[in-house]
Amino acid sequence: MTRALAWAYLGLAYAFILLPVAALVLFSFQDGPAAGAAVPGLSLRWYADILGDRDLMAALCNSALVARARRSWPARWASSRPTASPATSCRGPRWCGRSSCCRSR
Amino acid sequence: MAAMSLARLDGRELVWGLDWGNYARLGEPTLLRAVAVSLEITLTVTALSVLLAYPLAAILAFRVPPRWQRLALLLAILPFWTSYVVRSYSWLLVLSREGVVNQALLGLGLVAEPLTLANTRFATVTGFVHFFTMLLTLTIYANLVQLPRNYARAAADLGAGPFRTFWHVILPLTLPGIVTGAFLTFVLCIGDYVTPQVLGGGNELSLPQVIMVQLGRRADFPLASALSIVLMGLVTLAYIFSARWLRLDRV
Repeated sequence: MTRALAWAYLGLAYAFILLPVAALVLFSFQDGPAAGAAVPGLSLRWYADILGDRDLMAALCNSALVARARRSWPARWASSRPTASPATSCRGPRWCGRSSCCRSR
Repeated sequence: MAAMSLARLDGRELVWGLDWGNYARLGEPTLLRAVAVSLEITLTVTALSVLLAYPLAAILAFRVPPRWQRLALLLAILPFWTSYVVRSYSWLLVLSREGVVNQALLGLGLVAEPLTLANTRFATVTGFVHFFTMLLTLTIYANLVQLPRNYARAAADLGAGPFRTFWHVILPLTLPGIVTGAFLTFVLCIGDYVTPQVLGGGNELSLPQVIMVQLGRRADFPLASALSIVLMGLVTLAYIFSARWLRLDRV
């Protein structure tokens, strides 16, 4: 009895926790632009839009850059070697390419 | 910030000095209302999150087989992988008039027309509870798995039923973890601007939103500073209340 109750509670809790993420994933494949409308058909057009949008990709690269910088900071404090020159520190992951990240420089 | 809260605005000019006018203005109904709204939301959220997270953490720690526990815990905190703002907006997808919940209720024939769920305090509380249930599940789970299984066995040996074991052994031992988690929830929740802004609609403003209005729209930095000091005071009060059980080093 308590066993069944425990599993039921677990299921409900997961439903609550994962509901917004599931909705997010579902709507990302939706065919039309209206948020919240019933899903008439599935499409990958929004993902194609992201990959085709220069500004969005630049923003993505900036985020990756920040995440990377944060990871390497403590190591940089610990060692006494001089900090990297701007040219090398301004580099995100390899797939990013340098041109889109550092356009302003 | 403390010095700024004692300054005053002369037209558009900022005049530094010892002026208690900003604190006198805290008695205004709109500002008092914001403090009350923030406290109500935060206390509701803290209580609900603890009540929801404790059974979940207990089930994860005691019912789920050890080899599945990592996966189960990972699933329980999966939404942490998305950003905080995105999570708030995704609740809008769920709760809006054409959202998932309303579609389901309409499809099942439980309601005749869509309910207004988004842009209410209910939505704000839901968004907060969602986030903090995950956080508290983690902290309480960490406390529960550290607990030696022999304590519960010893209590059972001495004749205590499951409820008495929980009430007299498990709960007191995990109380520091719960209170620490609840304190973190209180601090993060009362100072949060994003969730009430995205989900709460404009009907009632919480304290951080009022501070933002003072800064952004009216450029009244002294009053905003005074309000921030009030916010810090509330957090300090919460700390004093929970200091007895608080173990920040044990999270």
